[in-house]
Amino acid sequence: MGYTPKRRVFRLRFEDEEYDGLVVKVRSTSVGRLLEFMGFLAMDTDDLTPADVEKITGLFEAFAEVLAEWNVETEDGEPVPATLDGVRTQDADFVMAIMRVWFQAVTQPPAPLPATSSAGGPSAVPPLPMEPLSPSRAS
Amino acid sequence: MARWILRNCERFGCLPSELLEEDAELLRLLAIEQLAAPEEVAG
Repeated sequence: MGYTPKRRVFRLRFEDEEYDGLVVKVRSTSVGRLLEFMGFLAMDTDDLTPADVEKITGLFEAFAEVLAEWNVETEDGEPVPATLDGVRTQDADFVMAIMRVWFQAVTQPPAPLPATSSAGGPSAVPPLPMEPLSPSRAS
Repeated sequence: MARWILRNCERFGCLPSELLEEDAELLRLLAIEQLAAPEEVAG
């Protein structure tokens, strides 16, 4: 019996206050799939060809596959399922905004630690292996 | 894009199909590496 490694799940943080209260959890994906998303997010959505529309449809399907959880509701307060059917009911700009934040979460390095830290405590970061310095040629 | 894929295939000793199947966490690691030691820009 084989083993399928579990993909990391990202809980997205939205800085835009328009999305206050929105909770979205999205799984990681493969490099190839993410590169496809990269091309899509850079696309000029005001000038789409039929081929672009077909590609976008495919990417929405791909996004629905990695969408693990969200708390989106209809205007009547009914939860929108985190599935392709649920994604399709949403405004394209809204879905694209989520995709952009997800893309950043997956690809961007973690934010730097705060400049100030409490004195005396042990570092939370494990020490990196370091090699001894090579002898200086000047000496 | 093609150059990026081929360069990383060479680096990791894998086929493009294998690289593209790798978890996207790899892109994050490459970004961290880039922060630590940015590549020299050819002048």
